[in-house]
Amino acid sequence: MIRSIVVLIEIIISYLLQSSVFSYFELAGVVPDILLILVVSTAFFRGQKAGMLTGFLAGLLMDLCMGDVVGICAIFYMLIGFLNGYSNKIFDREDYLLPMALITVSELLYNLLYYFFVVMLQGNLKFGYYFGKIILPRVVYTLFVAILFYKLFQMLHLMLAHFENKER
Amino acid sequence: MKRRKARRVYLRPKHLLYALLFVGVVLIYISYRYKDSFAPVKTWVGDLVTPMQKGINTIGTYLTEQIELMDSKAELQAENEALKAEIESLKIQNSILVSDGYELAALRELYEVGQKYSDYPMIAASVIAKDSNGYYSVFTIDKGSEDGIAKDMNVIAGNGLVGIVTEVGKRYAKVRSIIDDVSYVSGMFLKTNDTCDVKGDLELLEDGYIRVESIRLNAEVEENYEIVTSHISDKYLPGILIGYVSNIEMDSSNMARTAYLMPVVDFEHLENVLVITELKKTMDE
Repeated sequence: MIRSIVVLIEIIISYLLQSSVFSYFELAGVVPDILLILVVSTAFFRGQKAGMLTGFLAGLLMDLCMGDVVGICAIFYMLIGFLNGYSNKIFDREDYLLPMALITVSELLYNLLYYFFVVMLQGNLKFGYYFGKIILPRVVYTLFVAILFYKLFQMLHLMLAHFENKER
Repeated sequence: MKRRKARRVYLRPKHLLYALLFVGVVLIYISYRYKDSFAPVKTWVGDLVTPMQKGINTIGTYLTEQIELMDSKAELQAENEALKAEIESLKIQNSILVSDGYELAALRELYEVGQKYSDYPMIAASVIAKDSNGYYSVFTIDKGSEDGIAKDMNVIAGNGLVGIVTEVGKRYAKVRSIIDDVSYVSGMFLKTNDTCDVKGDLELLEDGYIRVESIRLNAEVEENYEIVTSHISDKYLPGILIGYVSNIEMDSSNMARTAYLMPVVDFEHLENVLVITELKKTMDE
Protein backbone atom coordinates (compact mmCIF):
# COMPACT_ATOMS: atom_id res chain seq x y z
CA MET A 1 0.00 0.00 0.00
CA ILE A 2 2.62 2.50 1.11
CA ARG A 3 4.75 1.27 -1.72
CA SER A 4 2.15 2.00 -4.39
CA ILE A 5 1.70 5.51 -3.05
CA VAL A 6 5.44 6.09 -3.02
CA VAL A 7 5.77 4.81 -6.57
CA LEU A 8 2.91 7.04 -7.69
CA ILE A 9 4.60 10.05 -6.13
CA GLU A 10 7.89 9.02 -7.73
CA ILE A 11 6.20 8.89 -11.14
CA ILE A 12 4.68 12.34 -10.75
CA ILE A 13 7.89 13.92 -9.47
CA SER A 14 9.91 12.31 -12.26
CA TYR A 15 7.49 13.67 -14.81
CA LEU A 16 7.64 17.15 -13.29
CA LEU A 17 11.42 17.11 -13.29
CA GLN A 18 11.49 15.95 -16.86
CA SER A 19 9.00 18.48 -18.19
CA SER A 20 9.75 21.55 -16.09
CA VAL A 21 13.15 21.48 -14.45
CA PHE A 22 15.23 19.78 -17.08
CA SER A 23 13.88 22.03 -19.81
CA TYR A 24 16.21 24.58 -18.22
CA PHE A 25 19.11 22.17 -18.57
CA GLU A 26 18.60 20.99 -22.10
CA LEU A 27 21.70 19.52 -23.70
CA ALA A 28 21.76 19.28 -27.49
CA GLY A 29 18.05 20.07 -27.43
CA VAL A 30 16.96 17.01 -25.46
CA VAL A 31 15.86 16.32 -21.90
CA PRO A 32 16.77 13.11 -20.05
CA ASP A 33 14.13 10.43 -19.67
CA ILE A 34 13.77 10.23 -15.90
CA LEU A 35 10.53 8.25 -16.08
CA LEU A 36 12.40 5.54 -17.95
CA ILE A 37 15.09 5.44 -15.29
CA LEU A 38 12.33 5.00 -12.72
CA VAL A 39 10.65 2.21 -14.68
CA VAL A 40 13.89 0.29 -15.25
CA SER A 41 14.97 0.72 -11.63
CA THR A 42 11.61 -0.44 -10.28
CA ALA A 43 11.64 -3.48 -12.54
CA PHE A 44 15.21 -4.24 -11.47
CA PHE A 45 14.40 -3.90 -7.77
CA ARG A 46 11.06 -5.61 -7.65
CA GLY A 47 10.46 -7.68 -10.73
CA GLN A 48 8.24 -7.84 -13.74
CA LYS A 49 4.82 -7.06 -12.33
CA ALA A 50 5.90 -3.97 -10.45
CA GLY A 51 7.93 -2.86 -13.45
CA MET A 52 5.02 -3.31 -15.81
CA LEU A 53 2.54 -1.42 -13.63
CA THR A 54 4.97 1.43 -13.01
CA GLY A 55 5.73 1.59 -16.73
CA PHE A 56 2.10 1.57 -17.69
CA LEU A 57 1.20 4.38 -15.29
CA ALA A 58 4.25 6.46 -16.23
CA GLY A 59 3.52 6.07 -19.93
CA LEU A 60 -0.14 6.87 -19.41
CA LEU A 61 0.74 10.07 -17.58
CA MET A 62 3.00 11.09 -20.44
CA ASP A 63 0.35 10.25 -23.02
CA LEU A 64 -2.28 12.23 -21.17
CA CYS A 65 -0.05 15.24 -20.68
CA MET A 66 1.72 15.49 -23.99
CA GLY A 67 0.81 12.95 -26.64
CA ASP A 68 -1.96 12.83 -29.18
CA VAL A 69 -2.79 9.14 -29.05
CA VAL A 70 -3.35 7.83 -25.53
CA GLY A 71 -1.83 4.45 -24.72
CA ILE A 72 1.23 4.32 -26.94
CA CYS A 73 3.84 5.37 -24.42
CA ALA A 74 1.98 3.33 -21.80
CA ILE A 75 2.51 0.19 -23.85
CA PHE A 76 6.16 0.99 -24.61
CA TYR A 77 7.05 1.73 -21.00
CA MET A 78 5.09 -1.30 -19.86
CA LEU A 79 7.06 -3.53 -22.25
CA ILE A 80 10.29 -2.04 -20.95
CA GLY A 81 9.18 -2.76 -17.39
CA PHE A 82 8.37 -6.34 -18.37
CA LEU A 83 11.68 -7.00 -20.13
CA ASN A 84 13.76 -5.40 -17.39
CA GLY A 85 11.86 -7.43 -14.81
CA TYR A 86 13.84 -10.49 -15.86
CA SER A 87 16.94 -8.87 -14.39
CA ASN A 88 15.33 -8.86 -10.94
CA LYS A 89 16.52 -12.45 -10.47
CA ILE A 90 20.11 -11.24 -10.40
CA PHE A 91 19.46 -8.04 -8.46
CA ASP A 92 22.46 -6.98 -6.46
CA ARG A 93 22.48 -3.66 -4.64
CA GLU A 94 26.20 -3.28 -5.14
CA ASP A 95 26.00 -3.73 -8.88
CA TYR A 96 25.84 -0.42 -10.73
CA LEU A 97 27.07 -1.56 -14.10
CA LEU A 98 24.11 -3.76 -14.93
CA PRO A 99 21.37 -1.16 -14.22
CA MET A 100 23.28 1.45 -16.23
CA ALA A 101 23.53 -0.96 -19.14
CA LEU A 102 19.84 -1.80 -18.78
CA ILE A 103 18.87 1.86 -18.76
CA THR A 104 20.93 2.57 -21.86
CA VAL A 105 19.52 -0.36 -23.81
CA SER A 106 15.98 0.41 -22.64
CA GLU A 107 16.19 4.07 -23.62
CA LEU A 108 17.46 3.02 -27.02
CA LEU A 109 14.67 0.47 -27.36
CA TYR A 110 12.02 2.96 -26.28
CA ASN A 111 13.20 5.55 -28.79
CA LEU A 112 13.38 3.02 -31.60
CA LEU A 113 9.86 1.80 -30.81
CA TYR A 114 8.67 5.37 -30.64
CA TYR A 115 10.30 6.22 -33.93
CA PHE A 116 9.01 3.21 -35.84
CA PHE A 117 5.49 3.21 -34.44
CA VAL A 118 4.79 6.93 -34.12
CA VAL A 119 7.22 9.24 -35.88
CA MET A 120 7.70 7.13 -39.00
CA LEU A 121 3.99 6.56 -39.40
CA GLN A 122 3.56 10.34 -39.52
CA GLY A 123 5.68 10.34 -42.65
CA ASN A 124 9.13 11.18 -41.32
CA LEU A 125 11.39 8.69 -43.00
CA LYS A 126 14.76 10.27 -42.25
CA PHE A 127 15.80 7.71 -39.65
CA GLY A 128 19.48 8.61 -39.76
CA TYR A 129 18.67 12.19 -38.96
CA TYR A 130 16.40 11.35 -36.03
CA PHE A 131 18.89 8.85 -34.72
CA GLY A 132 21.73 11.34 -34.65
CA LYS A 133 19.71 14.35 -33.58
CA ILE A 134 17.31 13.00 -30.96
CA ILE A 135 17.80 9.37 -30.10
CA LEU A 136 21.54 9.32 -29.49
CA PRO A 137 21.70 12.54 -27.45
CA ARG A 138 18.75 11.33 -25.37
CA VAL A 139 20.39 8.00 -24.63
CA VAL A 140 23.63 9.66 -23.61
CA TYR A 141 21.98 12.34 -21.48
CA THR A 142 19.69 9.81 -19.82
CA LEU A 143 22.62 7.57 -18.94
CA PHE A 144 24.46 10.56 -17.54
CA VAL A 145 21.53 11.56 -15.33
CA ALA A 146 20.79 7.93 -14.45
CA ILE A 147 23.99 7.69 -12.43
CA LEU A 148 22.45 10.11 -9.95
CA PHE A 149 18.80 9.12 -10.15
CA TYR A 150 19.36 5.37 -10.02
CA LYS A 151 21.13 5.82 -6.70
CA LEU A 152 18.28 7.99 -5.48
CA PHE A 153 15.59 5.48 -6.45
CA GLN A 154 17.64 2.67 -4.94
CA MET A 155 17.93 4.51 -1.64
CA LEU A 156 14.18 5.00 -1.56
CA HIS A 157 13.64 1.35 -2.39
CA LEU A 158 15.99 0.11 0.34
CA MET A 159 14.43 2.45 2.86
CA LEU A 160 10.98 1.12 2.06
CA ALA A 161 12.17 -2.48 2.16
CA HIS A 162 13.67 -1.86 5.57
CA PHE A 163 10.44 -0.29 6.76
CA GLU A 164 8.33 -3.15 5.44
CA ASN A 165 10.51 -5.79 7.04
CA LYS A 166 10.11 -4.08 10.38
CA GLU A 167 6.35 -4.11 10.06
CA ARG A 168 6.30 -7.83 9.49
CA MET B 1 -3.06 -20.67 6.83
CA LYS B 2 -3.27 -23.20 4.08
CA ARG B 3 -6.73 -22.10 3.02
CA ARG B 4 -5.71 -18.50 2.89
CA LYS B 5 -2.86 -19.29 0.60
CA ALA B 6 -5.01 -21.31 -1.74
CA ARG B 7 -7.60 -18.61 -2.01
CA ARG B 8 -5.13 -15.95 -3.01
CA VAL B 9 -4.97 -15.74 -6.78
CA TYR B 10 -1.47 -15.65 -8.10
CA LEU B 11 -1.22 -13.45 -11.15
CA ARG B 12 1.59 -14.47 -13.43
CA PRO B 13 3.64 -11.69 -15.06
CA LYS B 14 2.74 -12.93 -18.54
CA HIS B 15 -0.96 -12.60 -17.83
CA LEU B 16 -0.51 -9.13 -16.48
CA LEU B 17 1.48 -8.31 -19.62
CA TYR B 18 -1.38 -9.48 -21.84
CA ALA B 19 -3.96 -7.66 -19.75
CA LEU B 20 -2.08 -4.34 -19.82
CA LEU B 21 -1.29 -4.77 -23.50
CA PHE B 22 -4.99 -5.24 -24.13
CA VAL B 23 -5.91 -2.15 -22.11
CA GLY B 24 -3.26 -0.16 -23.97
CA VAL B 25 -4.49 -1.24 -27.38
CA VAL B 26 -8.08 -0.43 -26.42
CA LEU B 27 -6.97 3.03 -25.27
CA ILE B 28 -5.10 3.62 -28.52
CA TYR B 29 -8.09 2.47 -30.53
CA ILE B 30 -10.50 4.71 -28.63
CA SER B 31 -8.29 7.77 -28.80
CA TYR B 32 -7.64 7.19 -32.48
CA ARG B 33 -11.21 6.41 -33.46
CA TYR B 34 -12.95 9.06 -31.38
CA LYS B 35 -10.49 11.93 -31.49
CA ASP B 36 -11.61 14.02 -28.55
CA SER B 37 -12.86 11.32 -26.24
CA PHE B 38 -9.92 11.74 -23.89
CA ALA B 39 -10.09 15.52 -23.74
CA PRO B 40 -11.87 15.61 -20.34
CA VAL B 41 -9.40 13.13 -18.83
CA LYS B 42 -6.49 15.05 -20.29
CA THR B 43 -7.86 18.29 -18.90
CA TRP B 44 -8.31 16.70 -15.50
CA VAL B 45 -4.75 15.40 -15.44
CA GLY B 46 -3.51 18.74 -16.75
CA ASP B 47 -5.32 20.67 -14.02
CA LEU B 48 -3.70 18.35 -11.50
CA VAL B 49 -0.16 18.50 -12.86
CA THR B 50 0.10 22.10 -14.05
CA PRO B 51 0.05 23.79 -10.61
CA MET B 52 2.92 21.52 -9.59
CA GLN B 53 4.83 22.34 -12.77
CA LYS B 54 4.24 25.99 -12.08
CA GLY B 55 5.66 25.62 -8.59
CA ILE B 56 8.72 23.76 -9.76
CA ASN B 57 9.13 26.27 -12.54
CA THR B 58 9.46 29.15 -10.10
CA ILE B 59 12.41 27.32 -8.58
CA GLY B 60 13.95 26.89 -12.04
CA THR B 61 13.48 30.56 -12.90
CA TYR B 62 14.87 31.57 -9.53
CA LEU B 63 18.02 29.49 -10.09
CA THR B 64 18.56 30.91 -13.56
CA GLU B 65 18.12 34.42 -12.17
CA GLN B 66 20.63 33.78 -9.41
CA ILE B 67 23.18 32.55 -11.92
CA GLU B 68 22.60 35.61 -14.03
CA LEU B 69 23.02 37.85 -10.96
CA MET B 70 26.55 36.59 -10.62
CA ASP B 71 27.50 38.73 -13.57
CA SER B 72 29.87 41.33 -12.27
CA LYS B 73 28.44 44.46 -10.75
CA ALA B 74 30.71 46.77 -12.72
CA GLU B 75 29.51 45.27 -15.95
CA LEU B 76 25.94 45.97 -14.97
CA GLN B 77 26.74 49.52 -13.94
CA ALA B 78 28.43 50.25 -17.24
CA GLU B 79 25.45 48.76 -19.01
CA ASN B 80 23.16 50.89 -16.88
CA GLU B 81 24.98 54.04 -17.93
CA ALA B 82 24.77 53.12 -21.57
CA LEU B 83 21.10 52.27 -21.24
CA LYS B 84 20.33 55.58 -19.55
CA ALA B 85 21.91 57.43 -22.43
CA GLU B 86 19.94 55.30 -24.83
CA ILE B 87 16.69 56.04 -22.98
CA GLU B 88 17.26 59.77 -23.45
CA SER B 89 17.71 59.47 -27.18
CA LEU B 90 14.78 57.06 -27.38
CA LYS B 91 12.56 59.49 -25.52
CA ILE B 92 13.16 62.07 -28.19
CA GLN B 93 12.59 59.54 -30.96
CA ASN B 94 9.47 58.35 -29.20
CA SER B 95 7.92 61.77 -29.05
CA ILE B 96 8.49 62.10 -32.78
CA LEU B 97 6.97 58.68 -33.36
CA VAL B 98 3.95 59.43 -31.21
CA SER B 99 3.09 62.42 -33.27
CA ASP B 100 3.66 60.33 -36.38
CA GLY B 101 1.33 57.73 -34.87
CA TYR B 102 -1.52 60.21 -34.60
CA GLU B 103 -0.99 61.15 -38.19
CA LEU B 104 -0.89 57.50 -39.21
CA ALA B 105 -4.12 56.75 -37.36
CA ALA B 106 -5.82 59.64 -39.06
CA LEU B 107 -4.52 58.57 -42.46
CA ARG B 108 -5.50 54.97 -41.83
CA GLU B 109 -9.00 56.04 -41.04
CA LEU B 110 -9.08 57.88 -44.31
CA TYR B 111 -7.90 54.84 -46.22
CA GLU B 112 -9.96 52.45 -44.09
CA VAL B 113 -7.03 50.14 -43.67
CA GLY B 114 -7.97 47.00 -41.82
CA GLN B 115 -6.98 46.33 -38.26
CA LYS B 116 -3.39 45.53 -37.52
CA TYR B 117 -2.88 42.70 -35.12
CA SER B 118 -1.61 45.04 -32.48
CA ASP B 119 -5.25 45.96 -32.04
CA TYR B 120 -6.35 42.45 -31.17
CA PRO B 121 -7.24 41.80 -27.52
CA MET B 122 -4.39 39.85 -25.95
CA ILE B 123 -3.47 38.09 -22.72
CA ALA B 124 0.11 37.66 -21.57
CA ALA B 125 1.15 34.21 -20.38
CA SER B 126 4.37 32.49 -19.43
CA VAL B 127 5.69 29.17 -20.62
CA ILE B 128 5.78 26.70 -17.75
CA ALA B 129 6.60 23.37 -19.38
CA LYS B 130 7.87 21.98 -22.63
CA ASP B 131 7.10 18.69 -24.29
CA SER B 132 9.43 16.17 -22.73
CA ASN B 133 9.56 13.84 -25.67
CA GLY B 134 11.87 15.72 -27.99
CA TYR B 135 9.84 15.01 -31.09
CA TYR B 136 7.19 17.68 -30.77
CA SER B 137 7.33 21.38 -30.20
CA VAL B 138 4.44 21.68 -27.81
CA PHE B 139 4.54 23.72 -24.65
CA THR B 140 2.29 24.60 -21.74
CA ILE B 141 1.38 28.13 -20.66
CA ASP B 142 0.02 29.22 -17.29
CA LYS B 143 -3.30 30.67 -18.44
CA GLY B 144 -6.42 28.63 -19.15
CA SER B 145 -10.16 28.78 -19.68
CA GLU B 146 -10.65 30.77 -16.48
CA ASP B 147 -8.48 33.50 -17.93
CA GLY B 148 -10.51 33.52 -21.12
CA ILE B 149 -8.40 31.26 -23.30
CA ALA B 150 -10.06 28.89 -25.74
CA LYS B 151 -8.95 26.28 -28.23
CA ASP B 152 -7.60 27.53 -31.60
CA MET B 153 -6.58 30.92 -30.28
CA ASN B 154 -3.42 32.29 -31.90
CA VAL B 155 -0.29 32.75 -29.83
CA ILE B 156 2.34 35.38 -30.62
CA ALA B 157 5.55 36.58 -29.03
CA GLY B 158 7.27 39.85 -29.77
CA ASN B 159 5.86 40.61 -33.18
CA GLY B 160 5.64 37.16 -34.71
CA LEU B 161 3.46 34.09 -34.73
CA VAL B 162 4.34 31.36 -32.22
CA GLY B 163 1.56 28.83 -32.66
CA ILE B 164 -1.95 27.87 -31.76
CA VAL B 165 -3.75 26.68 -28.62
CA THR B 166 -4.59 23.00 -28.97
CA GLU B 167 -5.89 22.13 -25.53
CA VAL B 168 -7.28 24.17 -22.66
CA GLY B 169 -7.60 23.40 -18.97
CA LYS B 170 -8.88 25.58 -16.20
CA ARG B 171 -5.51 27.12 -15.44
CA TYR B 172 -3.28 26.00 -18.28
CA ALA B 173 -3.24 25.64 -22.06
CA LYS B 174 -1.16 23.64 -24.51
CA VAL B 175 0.31 25.45 -27.48
CA ARG B 176 1.60 23.78 -30.63
CA SER B 177 4.27 25.97 -32.14
CA ILE B 178 4.64 26.52 -35.88
CA ILE B 179 8.04 24.82 -35.86
CA ASP B 180 6.42 21.51 -34.89
CA ASP B 181 6.79 18.77 -37.48
CA VAL B 182 3.03 18.42 -37.85
CA SER B 183 2.23 22.13 -37.79
CA TYR B 184 0.72 23.59 -40.93
CA VAL B 185 -0.08 27.25 -41.45
CA SER B 186 -1.52 28.88 -44.52
CA GLY B 187 0.68 31.87 -45.24
CA MET B 188 0.88 34.73 -47.71
CA PHE B 189 3.57 37.03 -49.05
CA LEU B 190 2.85 40.44 -47.63
CA LYS B 191 4.02 42.28 -50.76
CA THR B 192 2.36 40.22 -53.47
CA ASN B 193 -0.49 38.46 -51.65
CA ASP B 194 0.63 35.10 -53.08
CA THR B 195 -0.38 32.29 -50.77
CA CYS B 196 1.86 29.46 -49.59
CA ASP B 197 1.97 26.77 -46.93
CA VAL B 198 4.27 27.09 -43.95
CA LYS B 199 5.26 23.79 -42.40
CA GLY B 200 7.45 22.90 -39.46
CA ASP B 201 10.57 20.92 -40.23
CA LEU B 202 12.69 19.52 -37.46
CA GLU B 203 15.73 19.05 -39.67
CA LEU B 204 15.77 22.57 -41.10
CA LEU B 205 15.14 23.99 -37.66
CA GLU B 206 18.70 23.17 -36.74
CA ASP B 207 19.75 26.08 -38.94
CA GLY B 208 16.88 28.21 -37.69
CA TYR B 209 14.53 27.67 -40.61
CA ILE B 210 11.17 26.09 -41.29
CA ARG B 211 9.76 25.16 -44.68
CA VAL B 212 7.51 27.02 -47.12
CA GLU B 213 5.70 25.02 -49.80
CA SER B 214 3.27 25.49 -52.67
CA ILE B 215 4.46 28.87 -53.87
CA ARG B 216 2.93 29.53 -57.28
CA LEU B 217 5.37 29.31 -60.19
CA ASN B 218 4.64 32.77 -61.52
CA ALA B 219 4.52 34.47 -58.16
CA GLU B 220 6.94 37.38 -58.16
CA VAL B 221 8.67 36.66 -54.91
CA GLU B 222 12.19 37.37 -53.82
CA GLU B 223 14.47 36.58 -50.91
CA ASN B 224 13.71 38.30 -47.61
CA TYR B 225 10.07 38.95 -48.40
CA GLU B 226 7.85 38.85 -45.34
CA ILE B 227 5.38 36.03 -44.94
CA VAL B 228 2.27 36.66 -42.87
CA THR B 229 -0.73 34.47 -42.05
CA SER B 230 -3.14 34.46 -44.95
CA HIS B 231 -6.77 35.46 -45.23
CA ILE B 232 -7.83 31.98 -46.27
CA SER B 233 -6.44 30.23 -43.18
CA ASP B 234 -9.29 28.79 -41.15
CA LYS B 235 -7.70 29.10 -37.73
CA TYR B 236 -5.06 31.82 -37.95
CA LEU B 237 -6.03 35.47 -37.93
CA PRO B 238 -4.81 37.24 -41.07
CA GLY B 239 -1.74 39.43 -41.20
CA ILE B 240 0.36 38.05 -38.36
CA LEU B 241 4.03 38.11 -39.27
CA ILE B 242 5.59 34.64 -39.47
CA GLY B 243 9.04 35.31 -40.85
CA TYR B 244 11.30 36.05 -43.78
CA VAL B 245 11.72 33.84 -46.78
CA SER B 246 14.98 32.64 -48.34
CA ASN B 247 16.40 29.87 -50.58
CA ILE B 248 13.48 29.88 -53.00
CA GLU B 249 13.82 26.92 -55.33
CA MET B 250 11.83 24.67 -57.64
CA ASP B 251 9.76 21.88 -56.14
CA SER B 252 10.73 18.33 -57.13
CA SER B 253 7.42 18.10 -58.99
CA ASN B 254 8.15 21.30 -60.97
CA MET B 255 4.60 22.42 -60.25
CA ALA B 256 5.39 24.87 -57.47
CA ARG B 257 8.27 26.37 -55.59
CA THR B 258 9.50 25.77 -52.08
CA ALA B 259 11.58 27.94 -49.81
CA TYR B 260 13.04 28.29 -46.34
CA LEU B 261 11.55 30.61 -43.80
CA MET B 262 13.33 32.28 -40.91
CA PRO B 263 10.77 32.77 -38.11
CA VAL B 264 10.87 36.13 -36.35
CA VAL B 265 10.28 34.45 -32.99
CA ASP B 266 13.20 33.00 -31.07
CA PHE B 267 11.78 29.58 -30.19
CA GLU B 268 14.87 28.55 -28.26
CA HIS B 269 14.30 31.13 -25.56
CA LEU B 270 10.56 31.43 -25.36
CA GLU B 271 9.48 32.56 -21.90
CA ASN B 272 6.57 34.93 -22.30
CA VAL B 273 3.93 34.81 -25.00
CA LEU B 274 0.77 36.70 -25.87
CA VAL B 275 -2.46 34.90 -26.61
CA ILE B 276 -4.85 36.68 -28.94
CA THR B 277 -8.26 36.15 -27.39
CA GLU B 278 -10.08 36.73 -30.62
CA LEU B 279 -10.93 33.67 -32.70
CA LYS B 280 -10.99 33.65 -36.44
CA LYS B 281 -14.54 33.77 -37.65
CA THR B 282 -15.33 30.80 -39.80
CA MET B 283 -18.10 30.10 -42.24
CA ASP B 284 -20.26 28.09 -39.89
CA GLU B 285 -20.39 30.77 -37.20
